[in-house]
Amino acid sequence: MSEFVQYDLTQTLIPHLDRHLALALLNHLTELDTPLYSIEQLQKAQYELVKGTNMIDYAKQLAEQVKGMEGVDDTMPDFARLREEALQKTEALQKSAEPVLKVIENPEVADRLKGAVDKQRNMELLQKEYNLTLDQVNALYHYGHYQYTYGGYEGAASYLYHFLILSPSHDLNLSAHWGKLCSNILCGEWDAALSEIKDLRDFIDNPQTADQAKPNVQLQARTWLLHWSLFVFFNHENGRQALLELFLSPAYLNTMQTAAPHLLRYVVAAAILGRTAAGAKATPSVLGSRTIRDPIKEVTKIVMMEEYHYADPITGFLKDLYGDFDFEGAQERLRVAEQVLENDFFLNGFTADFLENARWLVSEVYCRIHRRIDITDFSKRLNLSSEDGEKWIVNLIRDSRLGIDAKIDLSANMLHISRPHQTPTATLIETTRSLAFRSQAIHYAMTKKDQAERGGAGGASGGGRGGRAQGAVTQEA
Amino acid sequence: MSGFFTRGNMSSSEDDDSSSDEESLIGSSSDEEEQVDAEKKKTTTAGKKPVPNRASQFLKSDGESSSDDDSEDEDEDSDGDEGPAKPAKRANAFLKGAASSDEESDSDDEGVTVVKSAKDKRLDEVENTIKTIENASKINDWVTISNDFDKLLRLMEKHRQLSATASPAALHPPVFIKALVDLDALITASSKKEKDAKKKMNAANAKGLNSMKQKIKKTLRDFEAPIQAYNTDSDAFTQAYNDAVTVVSSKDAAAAERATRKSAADAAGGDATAEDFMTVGRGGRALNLTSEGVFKTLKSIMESRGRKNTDRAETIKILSKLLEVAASPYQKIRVLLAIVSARLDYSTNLASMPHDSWCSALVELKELITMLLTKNKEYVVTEDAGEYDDMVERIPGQGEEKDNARVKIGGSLINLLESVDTEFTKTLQNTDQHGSEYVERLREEKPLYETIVKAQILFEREGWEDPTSRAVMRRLEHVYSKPTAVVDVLERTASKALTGETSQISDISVPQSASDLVYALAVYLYRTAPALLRTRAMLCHIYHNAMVGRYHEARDMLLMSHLQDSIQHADIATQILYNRTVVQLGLAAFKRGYIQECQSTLNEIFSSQRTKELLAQGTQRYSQTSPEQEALEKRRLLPFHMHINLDLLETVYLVSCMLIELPLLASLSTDEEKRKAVSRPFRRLLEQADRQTFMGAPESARDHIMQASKAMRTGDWEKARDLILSMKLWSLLDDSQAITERLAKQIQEQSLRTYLFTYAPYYDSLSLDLLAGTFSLPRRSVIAITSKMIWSDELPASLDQIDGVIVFHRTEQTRVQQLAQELANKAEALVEQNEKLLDIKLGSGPERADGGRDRGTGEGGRGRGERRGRGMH
Repeated sequence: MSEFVQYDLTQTLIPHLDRHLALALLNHLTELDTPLYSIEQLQKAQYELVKGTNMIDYAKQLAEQVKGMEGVDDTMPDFARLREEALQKTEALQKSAEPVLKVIENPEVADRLKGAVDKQRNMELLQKEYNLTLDQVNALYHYGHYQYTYGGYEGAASYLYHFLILSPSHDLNLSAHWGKLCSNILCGEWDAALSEIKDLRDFIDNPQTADQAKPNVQLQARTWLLHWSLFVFFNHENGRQALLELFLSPAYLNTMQTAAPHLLRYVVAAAILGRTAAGAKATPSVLGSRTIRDPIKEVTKIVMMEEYHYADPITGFLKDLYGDFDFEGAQERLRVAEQVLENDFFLNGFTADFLENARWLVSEVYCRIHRRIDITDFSKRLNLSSEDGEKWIVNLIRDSRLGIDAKIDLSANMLHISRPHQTPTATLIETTRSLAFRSQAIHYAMTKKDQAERGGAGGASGGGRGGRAQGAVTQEA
Repeated sequence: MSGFFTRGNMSSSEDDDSSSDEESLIGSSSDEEEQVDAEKKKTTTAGKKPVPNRASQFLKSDGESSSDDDSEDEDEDSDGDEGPAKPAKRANAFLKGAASSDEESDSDDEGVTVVKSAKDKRLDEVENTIKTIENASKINDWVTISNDFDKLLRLMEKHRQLSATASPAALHPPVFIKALVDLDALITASSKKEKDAKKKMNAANAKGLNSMKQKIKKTLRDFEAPIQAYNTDSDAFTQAYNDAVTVVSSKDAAAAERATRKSAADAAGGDATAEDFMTVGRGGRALNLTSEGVFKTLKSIMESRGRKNTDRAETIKILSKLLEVAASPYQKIRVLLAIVSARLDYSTNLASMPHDSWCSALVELKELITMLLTKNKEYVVTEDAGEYDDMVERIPGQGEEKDNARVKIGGSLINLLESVDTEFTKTLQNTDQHGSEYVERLREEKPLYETIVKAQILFEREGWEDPTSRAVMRRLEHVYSKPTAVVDVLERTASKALTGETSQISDISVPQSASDLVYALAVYLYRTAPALLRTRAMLCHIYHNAMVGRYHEARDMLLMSHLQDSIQHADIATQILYNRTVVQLGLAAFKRGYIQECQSTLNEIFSSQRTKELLAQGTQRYSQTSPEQEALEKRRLLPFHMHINLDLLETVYLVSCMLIELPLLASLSTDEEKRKAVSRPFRRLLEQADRQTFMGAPESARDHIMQASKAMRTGDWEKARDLILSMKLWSLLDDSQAITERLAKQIQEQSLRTYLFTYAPYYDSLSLDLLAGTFSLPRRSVIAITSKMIWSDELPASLDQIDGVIVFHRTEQTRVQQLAQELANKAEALVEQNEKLLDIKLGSGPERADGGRDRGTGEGGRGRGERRGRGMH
């Protein structure tokens, strides 16, 4: 047991995850160099999780590990029989799904189906020409679902995909979407998962049935989506940006604040990690919504607001840096945060990145506030040795993204930052410079929207945003 | 009314000299008691001839009621010969006292007929009407006939209702039946004539005839039986009627005899008038002290309820006597129901109920509820009890109630409970807040609370949702604003009184802590209650959370409830509760040291300058308010013990303003910018204070704050702190030690900021150590504060780590540059607005991500602002 257990979120996250996803978290915990929990505890937990699935071989293996441990039910289920049953069921389901598959796999049909958007008509078409009933289509869903329960994620994903093309039922579709997202995550198909998240978000935000529109149901669905999407966002290459977009959109922000404040850690991490991406250029938005203008500022605000019911070293770092300007405190937090990141299932791949970016932020603030800085002191603030600190500073100056004109005075062991004295005229120019251009961009977006409306096609918003994004690029140039 | 009084006075003044006469009557009247029939015959002629002695006059009045009935032609003259009839009338009135409690035969126009029994009067009217009809029929005026016939039917209907207790034969006066038969014949005849004559009547008349034809047909059908009886043998019918009526009047007579005898015995000098009337009351009741009498008296009281001239005090007295004699649980429940509502009726015209009367009402209500809850579970008091004969004793499983295991009694417990509770508030409103009497009355809250809890459990057991939620609401309202210690006391008494009972809503076997209780009650209301109660429950819950210092929970609940959008449509009591909740939230923010939040929460209430009214803690006189409005507002006021300390509130608000406004004021350079104040009330006070040439020693809280503000502006933080902390008000807050410490620190920090803003233009650089020393802050926090100011571009400066100084970059702006900068800023704001608008238009989320909560507060402010406009009008 170490001091970091208190920062471990696994137990907070698991209730919002699917068994199979939770399993991944637990497996990660067993692989840690410095284990947070005793191995026995973890094995027991794993076994309890797997027992509920149809992954019988795995369950059997785990059952042998935990046998005889305290608190474990001694009467083990009969795995051989279970296995037999599972196989039979698979076969039966496969058989029932076969006719549909046959029809769909016919390229001619696939072409016709792809052309039409209307599911109702698709179904009619199939019924008329290929004698497919709704029950047979639903068999796809059941088979997909069953495959998922025993770990056949790829199969599950593909069956559910086909089912989604055909099925008109809202409830089953929603369930299938969740299933497919899960399967995609577990297969590591991040692109597919990302688009699945987008679909699910549409589903949740525009509920189809009265039952799905209940605030409670929506809240829960959103909480789930937030949790599940972590898997995607921290694996997909554009994930961090997408995470910020999703998590900071009003509905999901509220969900997070009410139901899952612990997710703030990931938002903060994403904001810090995404610093370079956001600073360099406005990346085209991944999930199809607007980009966040200044994620760090917004996230800081939220962190301060939610401080009373969630705080950890990672959120604390942001608060110390931007809320209290307590550099020593921030430095201390960063030291703890390193280990916390190492332990975290989602963030452990990003530890180095995070630290780098965090240092960057600290130095940015430091340089903006100070005129002359003691290098030794500065290095200490960055958790670096004096020499490393010097190198770091040199890099910082060279990579002059800060817009800082800084020089190192080695004899005095100090960094001298000269800030051009801003004349009132310069300030004035600074404020007004972009105005005309921004207005133009607005105008452009509006006319484009008008045209799009006249043309009668959707995607008006895309046009508008495109205008803005393009504008941002030109401005940079 | 006035006529009634003069008459009453007149007759009573005569009573003085007549009482002795009456004493002498006893002997003779007792004889006559046995031979009523003979006496009656004698008196049929009494009205016409002058009567020499008083005894027979008295007798005559007895007979009069019946003699009028049977002889149609002698009735009108009884009013004519006033002289001799006068004493008789008095006696009659006297009689009536007994009769009315016995039988209650008066109608609303009784005022005029104090003298004559109402029944007689009505019969007179019947006869008059019949006469008019006869007259009209002679000249064939069918319009008049039709109208009078309607009147006649109405009269009969009334007659039947009031003499429902009498024997069936007495229901149909032969006069009436005869008139019916005659009319029928007449109509048949005239319609025949009409047919033959073709055109003789004008249109209106013909119409009248036609409608009469319809009406008489219907009426004949209604009175089929008596008419048949009359047709076969009219004499026998008349005889039967007379007999029936006589029985009643002889009863009256007997009662009168007995009463007179008693009065004679009692009247050993003293005020005869009072004695007379008192005795009658007693005499009347003495008759009813049997178990059957309980119901009769109850019925008569029920009927007289709400009439103008009912003596409410008397009613209550009778009822409490009845309560003593009520034997069975059924009787007791009935009497209790009646007496509680009678007591509540008593105060309808008063500002509030007399305290002792309220106390007894509470005791009785409690008794009633306890009876129903524990001892007499087989009885239910419900609003939909259905029809039942209220003159009969009802026992479950017996007699009429054979099939019912439980007896249902008509009545609404929840209404009684709510009225008693409301009266409690009213008595408190009308008591001097600082007197010991107030405390005395407040002490009654304990039994009241107990009663409410009992009622709640009773309703819960019966499974009535609506009354349960109303009772729970009342309970919650008693609890939510009280400190934990007081709630503990209330709960302890309640749970002691309710051992053995169970409740789903909150565990009553052990006293609950205040927070758990409020939570349990509120959650129950969220689940089941209608929207209004839910809103109120939510506000109470938030209020409580804020009061005990759970600021974040309270704030989140308030924002999540979205009440600020809809509160201006709520009723005024709820709006007041909302205001109270908001204010309490502001206090909670202050207690937790969230100055900014506190200021913005309280700002709305204070900028109106009508804090007192918004919180219903006092009224302000305005020239345009009418007295009625003022009375209405007074009624809304909260009782003193629920008030939020306004001085404390204002101090908290002004101190928060001081901490926010002063640095801001110092940071603004142009007058233009300075005009935009965050808090107008504070600004105004500050300007006032600036204008004063001399500042005396601070007396009020405001003086303290103003002088502290002045000190803060000059950088004298120690003086500011001492002034603020020397206020005694802080001790009113729980945990005042921690709060004042936090406050002192905040004053230090904000003084530093103010100092930097104010004096930055005069320095090139400032040593951090010097600042830390001057403001006794650790160097680290000085750096933090200045860093923040630099980072957010408030202060044009930078830190020099090597020398440990702040270096200021001072930029002087010319007037033109200033204006240009302002213009540029405005243009930028415009573009930003445009972009936001575009965002909304394009549908990528209705607002910016940070909008969620911040906007909530903003809207709350707006909602409050709008409501203030209509608030107390």
